[in-house]
Amino acid sequence: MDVPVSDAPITEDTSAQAARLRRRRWFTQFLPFFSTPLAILIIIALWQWYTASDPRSKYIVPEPAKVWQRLVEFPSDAKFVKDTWQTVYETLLGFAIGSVIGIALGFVVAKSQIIERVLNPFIIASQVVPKVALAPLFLLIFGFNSTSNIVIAVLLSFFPLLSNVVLGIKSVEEGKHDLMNSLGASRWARLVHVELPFALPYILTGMEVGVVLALIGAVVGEYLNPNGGLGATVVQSLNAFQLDKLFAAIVILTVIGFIFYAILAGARRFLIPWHETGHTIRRETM
Amino acid sequence: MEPLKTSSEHILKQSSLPDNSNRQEIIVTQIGKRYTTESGQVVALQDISFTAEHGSFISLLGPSGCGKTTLLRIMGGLLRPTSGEVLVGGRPLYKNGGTDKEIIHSIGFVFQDPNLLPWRSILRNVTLPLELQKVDKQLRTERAHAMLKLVGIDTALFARAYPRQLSGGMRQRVAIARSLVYDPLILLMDEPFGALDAMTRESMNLELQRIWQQSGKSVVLVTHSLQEAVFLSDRVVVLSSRPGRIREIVPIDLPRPRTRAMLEDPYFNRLVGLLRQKLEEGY
Repeated sequence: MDVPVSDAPITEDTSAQAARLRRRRWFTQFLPFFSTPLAILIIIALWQWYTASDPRSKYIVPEPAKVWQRLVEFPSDAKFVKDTWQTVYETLLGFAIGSVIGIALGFVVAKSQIIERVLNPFIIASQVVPKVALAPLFLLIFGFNSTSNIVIAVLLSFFPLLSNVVLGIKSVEEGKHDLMNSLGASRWARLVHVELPFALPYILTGMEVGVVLALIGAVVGEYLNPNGGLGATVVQSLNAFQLDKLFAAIVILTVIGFIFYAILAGARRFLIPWHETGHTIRRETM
Repeated sequence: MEPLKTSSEHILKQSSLPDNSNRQEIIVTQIGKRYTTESGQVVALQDISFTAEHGSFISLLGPSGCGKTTLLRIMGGLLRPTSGEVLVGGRPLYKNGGTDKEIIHSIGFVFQDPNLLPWRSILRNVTLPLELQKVDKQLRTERAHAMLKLVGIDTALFARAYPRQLSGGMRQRVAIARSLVYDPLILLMDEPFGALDAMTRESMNLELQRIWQQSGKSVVLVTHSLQEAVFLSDRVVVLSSRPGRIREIVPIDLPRPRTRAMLEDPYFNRLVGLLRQKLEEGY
């Protein structure tokens, strides 16, 4: 909630009520630091209890301890580490290319109605086609190597960027355009000073979705592609019935996805502190 | 409160307008504006002609929907009229396919909404017009500080704050500072205080009068407040609605500077009454 800053000095409120309010705010803020580990511990405990109590469980899930063992050994497993880096590389490259395409295309589509009308059917078609189903085709076209995985990552990740950029630029308020007109601003100045900064929160939201989709794209490619990567590790572990390794790979994929997401969420605070979704501006809250 | 004089020479050098004393005179001749809608043509403005002389304060007053904002937008180069011409300093504002950029740079526009850019600090919102005009950084910062002081914003406290941290009245002050920063000769204001409470509005009116008197600019103000129009104006252009036409141009001969006490003055209220009567005739 916005509370205007007044010229009047802010008086230090030392009443018990204010203290209680501060405590409650502190509690909500730091709750996830306690609740998340606790929830994870409970899930692992249930998992452990299940594997210990049901002998059939070993055909479905490995023991938590074995997965942990795999994760501990992970740094010394050269193949595993190499596969991890391959997935990271494919995801990042696919995401980077997808972002550039999505953002550039988004600007063009948002600014030109003609181009929007012409391209829209193809953009929509590229989205309604289940791209995952096209993955085998890419393997045929680009070969059984990283390139295919990267292409799938690009294709999956560009769309949220495109649609968010279009939405962002089209949401620029009429008043901002009036302002720039009244100042005699050029098209370029309008883009740099109004449209781009205005679209930035939308772009970042698109990137948060896009990076996760790029990871999915890379892994889907790897499922079909014995060339390497964590997706291939998952499939190979399943075939070799190494459930502990399969689970370890999934844990690592989760961590990778989480790190990418966290970086982008951090970028939001850093790049758009002025926006409602970035909270670094200190505000007096009621 | 002399910051404007100290640094305005720098800015004037930046602008390449030829120096002639009538260049802040706006002549509006035979302006008409029609909109084509599915149900036919709507005449928003018809045959509007008046002159805003050098250094004068003119108000456009009329019932809502009478086209006063449309007229102001036409005068500010934001909306091309269907017929007629706007002459600023004897030169047409609208050229083939666009507006005269030099004239645009001599007009400051204050909108109903402050239209501050939320990602820019208060200071950088005010420097924006100068950035667009490629004025160097130190000069534009100096100018912006001077203008913020002029509109009564404490720069030590607020220069680095963001618009969302300010109250509505303060945001509108910042918007006024932004429109003054490039030293336009003409200030067009579209109900700038419409969203403010009555007390804030009164004090903003006093401040606007002070700023206008200090800067010697021509001001055209759109308002629907009779008191505001009488309090500030040299002349009030009363518009009738549908189509928007000039009903009457009422001269306001109250002495300057006008004070809060005048709001209680019988003559002031007679003028308000006269405007009300003209407005009612216009319905």
